[in-house]
Amino acid sequence: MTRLQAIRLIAAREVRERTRSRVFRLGTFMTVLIVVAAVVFPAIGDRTEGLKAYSVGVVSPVTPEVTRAISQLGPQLGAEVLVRTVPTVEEGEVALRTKGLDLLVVADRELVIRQALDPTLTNSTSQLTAAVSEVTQLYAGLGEAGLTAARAEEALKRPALSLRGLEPAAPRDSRGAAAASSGMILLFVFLTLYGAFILNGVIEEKTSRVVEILLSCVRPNELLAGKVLGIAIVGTIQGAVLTVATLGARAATPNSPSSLTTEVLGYTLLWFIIGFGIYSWLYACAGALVSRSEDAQSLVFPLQLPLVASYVVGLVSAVNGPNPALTAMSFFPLTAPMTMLSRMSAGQVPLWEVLVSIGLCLITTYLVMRLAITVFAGGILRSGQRVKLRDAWRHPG
Amino acid sequence: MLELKDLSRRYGDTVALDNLSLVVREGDVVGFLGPNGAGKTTAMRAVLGIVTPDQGSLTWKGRPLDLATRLRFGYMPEERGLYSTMVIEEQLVYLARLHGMGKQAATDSSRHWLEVLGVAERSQQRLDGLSLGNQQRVQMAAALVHSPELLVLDEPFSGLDPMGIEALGEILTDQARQGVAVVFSSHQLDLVEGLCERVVIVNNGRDVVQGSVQELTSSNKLLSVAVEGDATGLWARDLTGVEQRDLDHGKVRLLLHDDVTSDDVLDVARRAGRVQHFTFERKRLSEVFRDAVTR
Repeated sequence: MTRLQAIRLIAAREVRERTRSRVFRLGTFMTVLIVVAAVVFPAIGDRTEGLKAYSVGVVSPVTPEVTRAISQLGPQLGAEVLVRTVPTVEEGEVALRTKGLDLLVVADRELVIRQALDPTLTNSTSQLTAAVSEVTQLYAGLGEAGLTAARAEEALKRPALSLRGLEPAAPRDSRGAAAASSGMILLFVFLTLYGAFILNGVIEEKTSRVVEILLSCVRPNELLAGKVLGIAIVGTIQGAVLTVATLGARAATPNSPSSLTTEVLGYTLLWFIIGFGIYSWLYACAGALVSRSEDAQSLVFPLQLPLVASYVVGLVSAVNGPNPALTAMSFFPLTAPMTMLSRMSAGQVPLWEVLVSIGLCLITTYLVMRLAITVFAGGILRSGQRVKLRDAWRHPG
Repeated sequence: MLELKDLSRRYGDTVALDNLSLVVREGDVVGFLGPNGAGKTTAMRAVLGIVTPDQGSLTWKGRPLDLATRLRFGYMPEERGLYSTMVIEEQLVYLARLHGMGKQAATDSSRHWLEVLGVAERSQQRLDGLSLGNQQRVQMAAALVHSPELLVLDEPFSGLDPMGIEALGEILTDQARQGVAVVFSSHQLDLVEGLCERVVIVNNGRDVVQGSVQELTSSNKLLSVAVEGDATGLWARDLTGVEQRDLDHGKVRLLLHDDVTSDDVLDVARRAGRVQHFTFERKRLSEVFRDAVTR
């Protein structure tokens, strides 16, 4: 039997056993639900937002020009503004209470709303009242200055001022920031989850002693390579399922403003494969050094630190804009998967930087793989207390 | 033929193997005996390539052992190990294929051994659904499934009920009849005595005694003597140069030192009364073992 055949058999077993497990199926189903919801719900929310309409009642005397000006506030408020005349203030208040109206304009004297506003907060009602108040006061002021309502309306029909920026717009926008965050969250979950699969898989074989039988017919590096490859395939399958689900959800809701785009998922899958290449070997090392899952926690914590640090820095950058720490971390192989993904998702990284980062990650993967295979061979057959890394390195088998 | 020659292995300050040598021929069933910590498991692991000796050589049919050769070996580790959540038949097929078998042959062989070992009806269950005795049978099937030329079994009988012991004993004998070399460790010496042609006894990492059971247990130094009217063997108390082993229904078993002959003993017995029984006896394997490890 060739080495490749052995690796293929071991990988196939991993794929079969993992994909068959209830945890995997349920996990995939839940993740698909979350991803689809992340695409579809904003689209529904967006449609609801577009249909939003304010009902404004006016109690005479209010000129048709003022009524028209109020109804034309729609685009400014991002909503439709419907204006109707109400015979009396009392009737208008009843309509307010029964939610037939959002705002009542009493001539040019008073605005009435259902619930008093907190002056420290800004919301859609406060924006509506501010805009209507401004229009009403403007026409009242112009009337006092001697202009008829018709003349005033004519005078106000001027195009908006043009806007000129001294510097180009910053590349970061809220969509890019959200995209960076959603990709990072997915990658963090995937790397941690599949790292744990490797860790527990190695510990299972070690504690059940099946590893003795396996090592009597395959080399330690074949066993480890098969396991890593198999679990990577499982992760890729799950990633592919998510990508297909996202494509379907986006096809169904083409106008969805969700940040979870196919592009972001593609980047996430790419960096999962690269990141898993590094972290899988490290998790395998940790598994070979302990005999119980409980003992593994102390070894896993240092492995999770770079991921957590990447997540924090990536999140801060997504909110506050790019910073040097994010750029530097995107070239350090242990933090590159998440931080470079963050930068790529936000659309702020030149191609050469991506390629350099990937190159450094691949070199690190090779070195970590060599380390892991030696430590695995030295630690996998030792049971009982935790094996020191140095001892496993010095006595491989 | 499997040959281990002058194997040594240390773990830090602990000597696991100290110039251990042994031979197992095709068709032999060899008992590999020794007290706990004597080096049996380390030696077996070395045969399977799980442990690399510091020095010494291992050969099969005159050639140094390599992975391709080891694929033709069957192994049952002392600390039993299979995937507890995996379906039994799939597990055996997987292990057979890792030993180089094709898919169909691996499936057929798995079914055959599960049938022979009496767990065929459980073949589609997970291993952890079986009793410990049945798990042991599956473990044995895992060692046999790829039709090995050499079987290395570390304590294969522990945990089995008398029926299981008998069945496994028959399987090992049958395998040897077909030309398979079998070596197994056990602390059940009566069982070893009944099953093995040869034994190797190790102590502190060294082979201290090895040979055929027949040779090792035959003796012209172990006498069984009964004197009429002396059921407690009092007559033998004053014998010098003789070690009194035990008393069985008035028959005293005596191990003679080199400077004492059977005639000397017969003279003393005659003086004590009418000699009813006087014969040389075979040693029990447990006596051979005790003598070997307490030297």
